[in-house]
Amino acid sequence: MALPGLVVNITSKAFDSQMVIENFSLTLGQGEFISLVGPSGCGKTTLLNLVAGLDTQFDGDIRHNGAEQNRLGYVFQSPRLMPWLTVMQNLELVCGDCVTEPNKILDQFGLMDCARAFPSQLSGGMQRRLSLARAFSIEPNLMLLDEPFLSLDLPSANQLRDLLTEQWRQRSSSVIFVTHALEEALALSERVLFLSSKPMQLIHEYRVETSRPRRMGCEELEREARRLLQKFPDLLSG
Amino acid sequence: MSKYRTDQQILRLGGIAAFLLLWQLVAVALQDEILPTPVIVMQTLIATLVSGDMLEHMGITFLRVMAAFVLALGVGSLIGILMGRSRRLNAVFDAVLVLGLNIPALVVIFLCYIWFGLTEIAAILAVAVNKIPNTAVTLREGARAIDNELMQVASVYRLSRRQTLFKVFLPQLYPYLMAATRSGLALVWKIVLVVELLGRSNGVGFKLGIYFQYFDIASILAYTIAFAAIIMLIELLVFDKLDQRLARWRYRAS
Repeated sequence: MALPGLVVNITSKAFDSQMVIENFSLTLGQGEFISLVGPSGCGKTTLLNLVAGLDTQFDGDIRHNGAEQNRLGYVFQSPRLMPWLTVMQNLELVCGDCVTEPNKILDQFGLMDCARAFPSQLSGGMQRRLSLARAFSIEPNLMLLDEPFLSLDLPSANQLRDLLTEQWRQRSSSVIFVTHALEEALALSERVLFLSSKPMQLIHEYRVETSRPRRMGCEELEREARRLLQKFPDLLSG
Repeated sequence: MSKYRTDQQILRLGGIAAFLLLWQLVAVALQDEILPTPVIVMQTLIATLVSGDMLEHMGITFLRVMAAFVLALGVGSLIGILMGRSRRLNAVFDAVLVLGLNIPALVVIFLCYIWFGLTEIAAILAVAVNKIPNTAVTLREGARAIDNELMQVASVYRLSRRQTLFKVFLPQLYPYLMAATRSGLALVWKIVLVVELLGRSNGVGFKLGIYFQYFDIASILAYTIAFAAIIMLIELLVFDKLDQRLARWRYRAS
């Protein structure tokens, strides 16, 4: 295996006196797509914020390897667009030195028609699409996604999942995808890590062998998810 | 232009006309020098404008208003933003700010003139000091309402300090800046007149003081109307346009 893209070792992370993450390790191969699955509030977002460097108050260390310049894309739980900038301007804001022109990216993500619209004029699905486009536009070595498709209707969510898979395969980004929907994790990733809550620890690791394309709601994935839940009944209960 | 806006403008003009008519009626009924009719005031206004030194005095006052306004807005915003972003700074300066809000304008003016002499600097400083606490309080609210989630976006995508300031941070403060600006201009020009009355030998305030001694009500009203018109014009031509531009995204929202 090539040099890992990311090595995470967290001895402890606490808010006030509440221990959130304890003795947690994670190694991510370059270009690998992993999902973190666990109950809501188990500390997944906290972990992403640590990896992104937004929160530096913890014991342990996080090493980014690989390309000389570490580029990080982060798709937050809410789209977090600048409401006073148009779709195009939102993209240009992060795209100071993007290899691909913002125009082309908008085209790839199907946003060309609303380039001059403000975010408030877009549907929730389109806002998330832009959030995803923004993250991919900087050609990230590492992509972090925090339950990005959660509040969407099924067709929009499926469209965006396809888009995510397609973009991930085109670029060589490593991806950490956080979700509490087991089936979504199985559909998207190469490896699924199951997490417990308070403090967050790794309880099981599962390599997804099902061939692509995988569709949410197809029988194979459903069976796989059922089997996993039977084997580990308290996987998602925390 | 939309029908709605045309209606609004007709109503606006109607309001002004009704006010002038009422004034004229009361003045004619009273038949007293203490309340000249609007017609007389207008005649005085035109006469002073054409023959007198009105433009010169108004120009000087206008420059003082602008200087004090820019100074107050700049310093007040800076203090307010810093206090809104740092709990420590807020704790240190909060009492001073409350004090500043409650010191009478007149006291500040007296102190400035006594400490710095009857100078231009003292005059402008006195006006600015009166306005700074208001601006600071407004901008402090704005800085407290800054969305940390958007600041995280700026951090993750490694935006430069400049970009973060102008594209992420300040746009969130625009409503508060606009509020401070609008209330600021009105307050500043009122205080400038008092400062001029007390310690300057030119400007609208100075002239009003002289007319007051002669009981020349028509000239007092003429000056007042002329200068108020200039301030209204700034509101309309500068602030409204600026506001529309900066808040475009709000109006276009569905």
